[in-house]
Amino acid sequence: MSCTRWARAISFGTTLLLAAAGAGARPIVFADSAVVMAEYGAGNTREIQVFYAPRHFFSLGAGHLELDTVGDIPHEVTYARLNYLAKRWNMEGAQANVFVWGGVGSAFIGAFTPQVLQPGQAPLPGHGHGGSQEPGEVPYRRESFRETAWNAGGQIDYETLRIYTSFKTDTHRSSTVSHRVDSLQFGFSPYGHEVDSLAAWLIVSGRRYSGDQAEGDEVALLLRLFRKNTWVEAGATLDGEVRAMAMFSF
Amino acid sequence: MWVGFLLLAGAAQAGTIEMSVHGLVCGYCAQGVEKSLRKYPATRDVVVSLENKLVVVSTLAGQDISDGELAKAIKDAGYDLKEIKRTDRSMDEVRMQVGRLAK
Repeated sequence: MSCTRWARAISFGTTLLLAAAGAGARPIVFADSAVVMAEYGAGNTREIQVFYAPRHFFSLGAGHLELDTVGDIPHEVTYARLNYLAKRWNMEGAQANVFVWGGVGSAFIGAFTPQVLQPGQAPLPGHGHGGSQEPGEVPYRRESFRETAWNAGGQIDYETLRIYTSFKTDTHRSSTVSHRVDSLQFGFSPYGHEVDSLAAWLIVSGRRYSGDQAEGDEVALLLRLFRKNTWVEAGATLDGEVRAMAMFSF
Repeated sequence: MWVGFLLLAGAAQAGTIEMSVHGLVCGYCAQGVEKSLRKYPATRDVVVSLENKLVVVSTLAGQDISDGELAKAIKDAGYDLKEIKRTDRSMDEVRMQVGRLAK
């Protein structure tokens, strides 16, 4: 990871921790509650979400997702979303849930179009991205645009006071953007905890990125800390990329 | 006169309601249940213990929350009420049991 990326990760992580210290993660936490979630994903994904749950089984809100593709070309999606608790199983000392969600928003795409310069011709406005300006060579001209984007996903989880496991899938699609993340998490807490005590979890997270923006698998080891209304998770992928997430409820 | 005073004092004692609840596994669960129960004007204090799967409510002197209202509060929070017991334990005793005296 470059120095710039480390600086961005540290800056974003600090922001998350500060936000979490004053404010909370899960699309629905409890009835008549709001939740703010922010995530920094392995150097190429940043997302923030805000939801309000009038009842314990649904929440409404909005989110903003930033994706870096090859060459750090930004793709951003701002969306409104409805989250719905489709099913919950309450057991003695355990709980399992099925969440689904969907929404619509606007995708911003920072595209790059090849531009062949003729002798004496100046690059078009917006020229950049390290392209050559020599005649006959192919620099790139940035052309940005917006379009409607859809998102959908779901999560199945099972949790006790000592064990956590979940599978989550999340997709964003427009005519240009196609981005999907499938996540599988296993976690355990080394000690029992109560409402007022600090809960600590060790999490192994596997992710598969697919679509036009990112492709590949990722495994990360994370430490999750949770106390009262603040939830913070941080760690690194096996490739040494930082991953962090924070959630605050109020 | 003393008999009347003692009867009055007995009637004015705060009640303690202990509930066994399924599905309590996280701090958010506890917050949701507590928030739901605190909406009742008769609620004086609430203690939730995740390890003990226990929700305890104390009511204001001379007031009560019906079993139906308690069941609704737990259900509206998203959890399953399994048992209700009305006891004479103080909230300090409850906190002692669940290790949450230092609130």
